[in-house]
Amino acid sequence: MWTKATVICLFLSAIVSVPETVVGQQQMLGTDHLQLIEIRGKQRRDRIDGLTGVARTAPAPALEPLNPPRSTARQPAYDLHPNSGTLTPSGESIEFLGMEELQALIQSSIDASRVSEAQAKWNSIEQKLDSNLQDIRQLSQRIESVSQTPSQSVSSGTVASSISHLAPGIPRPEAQITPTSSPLQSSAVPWLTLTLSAFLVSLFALTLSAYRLGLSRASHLDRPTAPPQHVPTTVPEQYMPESSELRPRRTRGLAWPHEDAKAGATVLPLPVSQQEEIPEPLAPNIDLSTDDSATILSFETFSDQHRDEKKQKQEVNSALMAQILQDNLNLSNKAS
Amino acid sequence: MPAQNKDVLMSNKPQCVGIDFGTFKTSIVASNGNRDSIMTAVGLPKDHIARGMLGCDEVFGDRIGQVRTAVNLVRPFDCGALKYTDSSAAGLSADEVNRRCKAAKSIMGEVVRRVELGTGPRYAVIGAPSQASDEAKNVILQAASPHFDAVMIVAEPFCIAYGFGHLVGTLVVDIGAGTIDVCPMFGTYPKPDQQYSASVGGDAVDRELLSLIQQAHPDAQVTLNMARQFKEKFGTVSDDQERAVVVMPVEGVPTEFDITDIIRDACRVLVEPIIEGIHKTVAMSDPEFQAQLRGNILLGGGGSQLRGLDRLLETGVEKLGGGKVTRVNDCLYAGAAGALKLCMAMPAENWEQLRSQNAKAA
Repeated sequence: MWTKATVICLFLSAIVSVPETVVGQQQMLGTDHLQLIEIRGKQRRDRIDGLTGVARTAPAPALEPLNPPRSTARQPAYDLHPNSGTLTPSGESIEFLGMEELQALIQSSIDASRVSEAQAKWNSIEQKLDSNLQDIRQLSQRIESVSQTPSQSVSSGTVASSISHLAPGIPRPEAQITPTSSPLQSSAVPWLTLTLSAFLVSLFALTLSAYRLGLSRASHLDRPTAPPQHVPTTVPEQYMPESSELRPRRTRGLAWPHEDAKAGATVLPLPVSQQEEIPEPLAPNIDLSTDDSATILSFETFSDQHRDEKKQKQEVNSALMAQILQDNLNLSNKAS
Repeated sequence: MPAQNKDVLMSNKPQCVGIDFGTFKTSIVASNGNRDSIMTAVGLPKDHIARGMLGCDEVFGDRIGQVRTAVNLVRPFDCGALKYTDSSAAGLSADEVNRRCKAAKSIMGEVVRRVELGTGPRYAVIGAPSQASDEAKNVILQAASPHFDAVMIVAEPFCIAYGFGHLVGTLVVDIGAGTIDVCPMFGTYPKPDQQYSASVGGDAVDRELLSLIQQAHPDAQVTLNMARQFKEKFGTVSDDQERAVVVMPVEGVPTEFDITDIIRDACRVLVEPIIEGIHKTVAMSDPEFQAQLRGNILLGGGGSQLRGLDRLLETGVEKLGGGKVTRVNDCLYAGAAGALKLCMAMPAENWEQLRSQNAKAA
C-alpha cells in the first residue's frame, strides 16, 4: 500500500517538474546568448539573435510553482475520519493514519526523492548548456570566418545546416536570416573579380601589341638606311643605272657594297667611332633559310614583286593573245 | 571637245561581245552591258497556215515552246554535230548541213540583235569545243561573220578559265549539251592535243533518261522534251536526294511515276567520261604540275549543275591521287563573260590585223 502510494506520488511529482525543467533550460540558454551577443558586433549580434530568436521569443509555458500549495494538492475522493479503523476479512485490524500525518509523510518522501532527482537533472542541464554554449561559440566563429571571406558565397541554407549540425537542439533559423545586400558578400563578387581581371589582362595585351606595332613601324622606317638582307653584294652592271646619282646610296656617305665592288675596292669594316654613330637597324624577322611566303617583306621588295607579277601577267597575256590571233589567222586562211 | 566630234568618237568605239554558242543554249554578253540567252534552235513554220499564224519565217527563244506544234524545230548543233564532229561523221546529208548552217546563222543574228550593239566596229570572241574540227569552226565562223567585223574562235574551257582568271594550274571541265571538254591551263593557250573532248553531254543524258523511262514504264507517254524537263528539275547523281515523282499520261490519264532511280542512273552517264577525261589530261601534263591540276578542277557548263556531281567526281578522282572539284556559280554566262573579257583584252592591232585578213579573204 505504501509502496503504491509512493509510486503515485513520484509520478505526480515528475509530471509537475517537467515544464519547470524545460523553462529553466530555455532561460539559461537565453542568458548565455545574450552574454555572447554583447561581445560580438552588431551584424553578428543580429545574426545570432536571428539564430536564437525562436528560442528567446517563443512563448514560455506557464510556470508552475515548485511547491504547490496544499490546497491545490490532490484531495482524496473520500474523507476518512481521523483515528477511525476497520477490519480485514482475516480479522486483522488496520489502523489508519490521520490526513495530516499522511500528507506530511507523503510530502517528506516527495521532497527527498525530488531533491535527488532535481540534482541529477540540474547536472544534466548544466552539461547540456555547456555543450550548447560551446557549439554556439563554434558557430559564431564560423560565421565570423564566413563573413570575413568576401569571395565565398554564404547562403542561409548553409548557415542553417551548420547550425543544425553543430547545435541540433537549436531550431533552424531560416526565417530570421535576412539576405545580405552588400555587393562584397553577394554571389556577384567572383564575376566582378573575373571581369576586372579580364579587363586588366586585355588592357595589358593591347598595350603590349601597340608597343610592338610601334616598334615594328619604327624599325620599318629606319630600314631604308640599310640595304635589304637579300640584296646581293654585287649587282650586275647591266642593272645599274647610268647616272651615279640615281644609284642608291647609303646615308652618311657610306656606299653600297656593290659600288665598292664595282670600284674594285675592298669593303673594309668601319672604324669603331663610325660604327657607333650609325645605329644598327633592327633585325627583321626574316628567315632566309626557309622559303616561307609569309615572311615580312619591305615596301620596296613588295613593290618590286608586285611589278614583276604584273609584268609577268602582261607577258603571259600578250603571248596568249598572239597565240589566239595566230590560230584564228590560220583558220581564216584555211577557210578562204 | 565639240559634241559632234565626241559623237563620232563614241560611234567608233569598238563593240565587243562574248558568245557561248552552245549546243543547247546560246549566251551572249556585250560590252554595252546587255546580255541574253536563248535556246540554240530555230523554229520554221510547218506550212503556210502556220506562217500566217506566226507572222514570220523563223521563231526563236521562248516562243518556240509556245508554238512548238506549228513549227519544225532545227537545232544546228544537235548532239555535237557540226560543232564537234564533221558532217560526214554525224551522218548528215548536204541539204541537212545547209539547213543547219542557215539556222546557225539565223540564231547568231537573233542574239546579236538582242544585245543592241552600237555603230562602232564589232568584234566577237566565240567559244567552241576544245577539239572542234576546222570544219566545225568554219561553220561557226560563217555563222558569225555576217554580223561582225572580226571574229575569233576560242576553246570554250579557255574562255571559262580566262573569265575567272585561272590561267595557271587549273583543269577546266566544260560539260555542255553535246560535248564534255577538259582543258588544262598552264599559262599558255592550250593546244588541241593537250585537251580532251568526249561527244557525251546533256543530250546523251536526255536520250538515256527517255530510254530508261520507256523501259520501266512502257505505258507512260513521254517525249524527249519531257525527259529534259525531268532532268532539269530532278537531275542528280547522288544517292541521297528527294523522291522524283513526275506526271506522265497513260492513255490520256495523268499518272504519277517515281523515277528517282531512273534519273540518277541516267545522269551518271556523264561521270565516267569526265573522270576518264581528267585522267587522260592530267597524265598528259607536266608531272610536276599534275597534283596542282587535280587540286583545282573547275566545272562549267550546264551539266555542272547536276546535284552531287562535284562530290562524286572527287570520289572518282581519289584513285588518281585525289583532288578538289568546284563548280562555277553562273554556268549560263560563265563562258560568254570570259569570252567578252578576252575580246576586250585583245589589242586593237590584233583585231585590225584579223579584220584586214577577213577583208582580203572576202
